Formats: sequence, structure tokens, C-alpha cells
Amino acid sequence: MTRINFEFRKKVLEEIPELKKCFQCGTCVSSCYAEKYIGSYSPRKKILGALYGDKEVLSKELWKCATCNACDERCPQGVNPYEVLTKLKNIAVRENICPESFREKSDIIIETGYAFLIDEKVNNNRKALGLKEIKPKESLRFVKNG
Amino acid sequence: MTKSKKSTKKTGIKAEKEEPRIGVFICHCGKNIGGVIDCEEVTNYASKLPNVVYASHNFYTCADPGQNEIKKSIKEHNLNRVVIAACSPKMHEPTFRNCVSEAGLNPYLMEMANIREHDSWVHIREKEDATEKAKDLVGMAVAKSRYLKPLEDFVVPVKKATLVIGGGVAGCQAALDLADMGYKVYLIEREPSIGGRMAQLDKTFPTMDCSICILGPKLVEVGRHKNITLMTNTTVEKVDGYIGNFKVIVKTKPKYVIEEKCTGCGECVDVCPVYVPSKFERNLKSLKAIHAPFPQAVPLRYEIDTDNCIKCYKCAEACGDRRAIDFTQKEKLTKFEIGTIIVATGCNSFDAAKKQEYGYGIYDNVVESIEFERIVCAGGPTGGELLRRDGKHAKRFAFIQCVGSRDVTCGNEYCSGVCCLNSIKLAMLIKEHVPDAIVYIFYIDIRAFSKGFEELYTRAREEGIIFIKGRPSHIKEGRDKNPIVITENVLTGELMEVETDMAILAVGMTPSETAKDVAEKLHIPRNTNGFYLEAHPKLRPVDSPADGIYLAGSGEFPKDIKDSVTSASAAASRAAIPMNKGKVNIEGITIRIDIEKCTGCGSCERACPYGAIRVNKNTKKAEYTVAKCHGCGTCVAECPFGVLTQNHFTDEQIMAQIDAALSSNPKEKVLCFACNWCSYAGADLAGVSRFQYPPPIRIIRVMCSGRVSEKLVLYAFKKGAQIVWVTGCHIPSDCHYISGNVLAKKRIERLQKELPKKANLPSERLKLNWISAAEGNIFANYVKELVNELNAINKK
Repeated sequence: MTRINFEFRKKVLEEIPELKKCFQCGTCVSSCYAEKYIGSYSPRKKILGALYGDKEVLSKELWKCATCNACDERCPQGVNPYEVLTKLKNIAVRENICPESFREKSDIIIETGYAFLIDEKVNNNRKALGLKEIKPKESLRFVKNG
Repeated sequence: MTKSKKSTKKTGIKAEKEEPRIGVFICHCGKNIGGVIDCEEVTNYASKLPNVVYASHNFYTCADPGQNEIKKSIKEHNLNRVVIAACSPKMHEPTFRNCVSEAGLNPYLMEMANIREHDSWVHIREKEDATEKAKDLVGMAVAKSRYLKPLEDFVVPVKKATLVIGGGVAGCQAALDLADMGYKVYLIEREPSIGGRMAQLDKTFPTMDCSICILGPKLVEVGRHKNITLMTNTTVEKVDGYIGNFKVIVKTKPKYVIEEKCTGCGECVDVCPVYVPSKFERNLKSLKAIHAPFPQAVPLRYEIDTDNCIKCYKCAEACGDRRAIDFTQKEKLTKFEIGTIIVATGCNSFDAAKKQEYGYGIYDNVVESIEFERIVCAGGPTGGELLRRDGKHAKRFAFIQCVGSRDVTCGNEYCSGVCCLNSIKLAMLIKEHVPDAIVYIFYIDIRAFSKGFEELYTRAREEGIIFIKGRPSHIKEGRDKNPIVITENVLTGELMEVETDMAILAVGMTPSETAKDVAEKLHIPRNTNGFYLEAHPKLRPVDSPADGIYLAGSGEFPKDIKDSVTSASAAASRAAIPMNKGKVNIEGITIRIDIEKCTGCGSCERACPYGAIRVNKNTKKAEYTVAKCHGCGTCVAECPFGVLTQNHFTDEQIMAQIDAALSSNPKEKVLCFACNWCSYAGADLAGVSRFQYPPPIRIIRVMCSGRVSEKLVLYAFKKGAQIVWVTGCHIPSDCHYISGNVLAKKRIERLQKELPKKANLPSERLKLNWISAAEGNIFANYVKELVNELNAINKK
């Protein structure tokens, strides 16, 4: 049975008020590449879940979005599902329900400035292909303004 | 012109000489005001104001007991001024003017404070601030009331003739109703035939009558009614005047065929060698360059498409001695005088090419609903065969609902209301033509709200039409140019790809492209979607805000045929009221000239768009024709010597309002001048829509932004206002008085530059914005910005 979690609903709506505009037409779902190729990724259901205050919407599923923006482009109510999903991801991170691999990746970027590091594993692969070894790059420090 | 007998001279004169004895009546309006504002506290406050001899509060002041209390108090306390703090004067000013005049007081000695639309409805959560604001608003009304003078309405005769603009079913119905009542009707239509959108439909829902069969006889009746002058190919060129006395000029494009001589035999068509696409058939069929627009056209006369004509003159040859063809015809202007106007410019279908994802205009077998209406029609281009572009018979059909409706991406957030039933109707017709056809309707919600609608929806399901809840995201083209509809089935939560032979886009309705031009020429407002605005959404749905101009059909908002006809008959009967009476009262808000001081400089003459005030070259003095005056007060603000006075909006009255508005904490307030027709109405709409904005704004109503003189603005700054905000109708053409806003713009922009010199304040303190009667949200947003600015100034 669907029960509305009013506490979480309130919290989500305060942060993402545009959710309230959604009239559940499904345009985002048939626009969605994640739904088409991976399946079980429905922006509409995520929005409905968020409106009902269902914490399940913060699950791993959320991170399947390919950020193609097609849903935003076509949404007839200006809900902008892509942005809504991004904001839901922010809530998920704060609630500590973000998949470990995303957290690891973001840690690497924050620390080094690179999305992909040159490490031993990379050099082993290169060696196998007969390529010469390359030196691991130094980390780039973020330079603060001024 | 005669003076109204209604005005009560005796009490009026008495009021002028006597010390003001003011009665204040505060309305709770149930919980509408009383739920937010402490009416008792406001009453106590009012009772202590100078000259107030009586103050009370009442649950519903506009109801009988409330009105009786006012009448009783006028007599008991010998009141000679009445202040009513309630709703907007645009709502109940006539009610209360009547009420006080029944008690023997001149109606212009009553003043209203708008504590509902401008206060309790827009400050729902700020109860204390709203109560403080209500005190200010009552104080302002009391202050103005001390200087009120008795005035008299003028009575003008009404011409018993009407102009109907637009010859669709609504325009025809309105024209016939009025013509049958015995009034002269001029019906103009920009197309070569009357009939409008309804003539293009095959059947009508929910009864499935043949559209042209029920419309045709009506069109014929319009064509031959002795009281109707029908002019096709004709548009409005110019409209002057006011209720009862409009002067109109219309422009008729030449048809190059003399209507009186053409017998409609069609011999010219047979010999014409040039083919042109038929607009009526949505370019699905061709016509000759000389043609009648469609077989049932009224008037059934031929015209030549000169853009495509090769001037071979074979038609003239075939016409022979009838001599009906005349290539020398020119545009013709016709002038006439009328008493009332009915605007019935109707709707267009939404341009489906704007929703690129559905491939209209790209894919061969994606059509829109009016095109499909012609395809299904036995009299149409395919003779009723359901043929595709490639000539094959289509068997599988998909209707896509809400194309250009309920869609903010194309700016049409409204529901067009007719497309659900129209698609169901077309789906039923497909089943009638091809019983084994497969028909899908993809919808967001099915709206079947009117008589017989739900029953038709049920029948459609019984007929086997497949309804799929889900708004398709796009259409792609498959093999054989078959459109494939891609959607989520919202009820199962699964994706669907549906291959069809033909996809039909159920396009929404948008205002006719002439609506803008007509609105500008008549000075009537439109909403943000371009539909004409009604005087009151519930109680005056077919009146435009301008007196004597009425709205019929879907120019006001999308309507089906029944609703169009209903509104047309309603508009006709509303228009008949002043014509039947034969006279109409015009408000006594006119001007006075202190002729001694007049230098004859001519500023007023240049300001007046109606020619009501002119300088006599011999006497070098201004001369005033009251019958021509519309009461905007722009001349008063333009006069450099203060010679002119606008009755009911005199300088001393407005300055008294400014004094009262800024009597306490002036530095924490924004003072706003709002014109009666657009921005004051916009502020009212913000109230009706409950758009919340911060309380520190005090609005003073003037008839036109053109009335706001330099003197008034500088006075407000002198009294401590931090920000003065002048608002009016959109530039250049929305002004109810033609050009008052243009003069206001010039004057206020000049004053902005001079403000550092004249008031020792930065230019930014004087604001000027245009807000229409439909822009409640924009009004509220402006106030938020201004109050932020005010807070920033005060922090410094």
C-alpha cells in the first residue's frame, strides 16, 4: 500500500519545488535513453516517488541517468526532470546513500584534479601491449581565487 | 447631451459648503478580509480620524443588511461623505454609488478603500502588517473624501447599430440575434466567405451532426437578412468614439469580381489555366486562380487570386456580357457610425510544426486535426476516403492529444478543452468509414465534462478504440513512411512503440492572428496567451472591460460550437441593453478650466487624443467639449500653469491621499500610481489570484498614467516617499485613452533625469512600468523587487 511520508515529502519539496508541477504524462520516460537501454529507470516514477515522500527514490537507480537532457527538452510542464534528478542526487549524497564508486571517483577528482589516474594498473596494461611506461602525474591542486 | 435627473443637487451643494461629516464602513467580506485584517481595530482607528463622525464594521457590506446600515447611518448621523473599505472599486463601486444615492447623497461623495484585493488577499500570512496597511488605505480614502465634490453623470444617446467583427459561427449568431431584434448590424469578415472554423469541420461532437449542414442555413440567413450588411474580405481600419457613438472605418480588399454582377455560374473557372492551393482545404486540394472559396461559401461569389493570376483574361472573355470581372478594383474604405461592437475574431489551430518532435511537415503521414477533418469529410479533397499522401488506404491511426495545449514549452499552458472530444469524434468517424480500422488515442487526461461528452467517450470505448494514457515523447518514421509513436504507457509503466499508417496531432486552439490588431484598434486588453480579457471572469464573461464592446466566441478563450453560440447570444443580448435603452450614462469624471488663468499655450490640446479641448485662436483660451471628453486627465497633468482640474481626481484630493499614505513611517513605503484600466486591474488580479507580495506598498488609483503630473510625484518625494512607482498600460497601444501612457512615459522619463536637481534624489527612485490587467503575477513580482530595493536603501 502506498503511504505518503509527509516529513520527507516536505523536505524534498522545499528543495525541489518544481516537482509539484508534474502531471505524470510520461513524456520524460519515453524520451529517456537510460530507460530505453538499461530499463527500470523512470524519471516519472522517481518524481512521483519524491512527491509521495518515498525514500526509495534515492536508491542506486538514481545514478543511471545519462545526462542527455532530452526529458528537460520535452517536459511540457517545465518540471525539468533532469535537474530534478540531479537535485535528488544531491539529497542522496547528503543522506549518505550514494554508490561507493561515485564517491571514490569524486574523491579522486577533488584530490588530484584528474578523472583518471595513471597508476600501476595502467602501466601493466601498457606493458602487455608493448607500450612504454609513463610516469604517474603529479596531483593538481585546486587553486583558490586570489 | 442632458444632465442626469438622478443626481441629487440639493445634498451635493450642501456637502460642498458644510464641514465634512464622514461615515466609514469596514467590510469583513466573511473571512476574506476579516480572516486576515483586524476589522475592529481598523474601525477604532477610523473613528478617531478628523471629520469621521461614524465608523462601523459589517460582515457583508454589499448585502442588503450592509447597504441598509449605510443608508440608515447617512440619515441618522447626517453624513455627507461615505467611505467604504471593502473590495476593489472595480467590483462594487457602482453598487455603493447606487446605495448612497438612494439615501439622498450624491454618488460621487462615496469613496472606496480596497482592503481585499490590495491587502487581505495578498498578505494572507502577514496579518499585523495587513491591518496596518488597511489603516493607511482607510486613512487615504477618508483624506480624499474630505475634498470630494458632488458630480453629475452625463447622458448620451446610443446609436441602434452594431459592428460584429468576425463571421464564424459566433459572429453569425450574434449578428442574427441582433438583426432579429431589429437592430442594424454590420458584419465584417476578413476571409472571402463567412463560416469560420466550423465550416471546415466534417461532423460536430457529441451529436455527430454534419457541421456544414447545420451551419449552412445560418450562413445563408446572414447573407440575406435585411438588417445585416455583410462585408467579406474586410478588416477594421480605425475605431473612434465611445459606447453609443463609435465611428468606424473598415477596409475591403478587392475581389476583382463585381459582387452585384457575378451570378456564380462558374464559367470563368472552367477556362482559367492557373491552379492555386485551397486554404479552406488546408492545401490538400487545388483551386483555379479565379474561384469561390468553397461550394457552400456565403456570399457565393468568385474572386481572383492576383498573386498567382497570369492576367490571360480568359475569365473576362468567358464572363462576356455579364461584365462581372474588373481588374481595376481598388481597396475600398467604408465609414459608418454604430452604438456597440461585438468582437468575434475566434481561434486558429496551433501550428503543429512548432512541436518538431512529432515531425509535422517533415513526415508525410503526420497530419493535424483540421487537415484530417477535411480528409474524413465526404466533400473534402479525398471524397471521404482515408488516404495517405502515397494514395494508400490507411488502416491504423494514432491520435496524439495536447499538441500545443497544456504545454509551457510553447507558451500554451491552458487546456484547449475541445480536442479530447474532437479526437474521439474523429476516431468514431474512422470506425464508421473503415470498421476494421485500428485507432489509438494517446492522452494525458480525457476531459469529457459537458452534456453528452462522457457518453460519447463510453461509446468510443465500446467501438473498440484503444485509449493509451501517456503523452508520446516523439514520432519516428518507419518503413513505408509509417509513423511510429513512442510513448510510455503510464498505467503499465512500460514503453510502447506503436506503428501506424497515419498519426493525427490533436492541435490546440490559439487566438486568431488578427486578435492583436483588433485589440489595439479597440483598446481592449488581452491575457498573456493573447485571448481577450473579460470584464469579470464570473459575472461579466462576455463584456470587454471597455464599455460598449462585447466578446463572442473563442477569441475570449477556446470554446466548442455550443459554447461559442451561447456566448454569442449572450454578447448580443448584452449589446442590446444600451441600444434598447437608447441612452447611456457617462461618468461625471470630466475637467474644469480656470479660464481666467489660461494663456492659450495649447499643451492641453496636444495632449487630448479626442479633440475635446482646443484653443480658440481669437480668444486665446482653451475651449472644452464635454461630450468628447473621456476623462483620462492627461491634459490636466500636461498643463504647465495648473489651469485645469480633473473632477474626482483633483490635485488636492490626490495630495490628500499622498499625505495620508505617508503620514507614518514614510521611509518604509513605496508609493504607487496605478491606472484604472491596466495596472490597478493587474493589482486586483494579483489579489484575486492570491499572488503574495510584501505589504509596504500604497496604491493610488488614477484614471490614466497620463494623469500623474510632475507636481504629484515631487509632492510624494517631498512627503518622504523613498520610491515612487508610476504604472500604466503597455506602450504603445494598450492605453484605454489611446496615448495617455505615451505622454506619461515622456513626462516621467524626463523627470527621472531631473530628479537629482529637483528633489535631490537619484533618478532610480522614480520607477515606471507597464502592467496589463492580465499580469497579476508580474505586478506581484515588481512589488517584491521594489521592496527589496527599498530595504537596501533603508539599510544604507
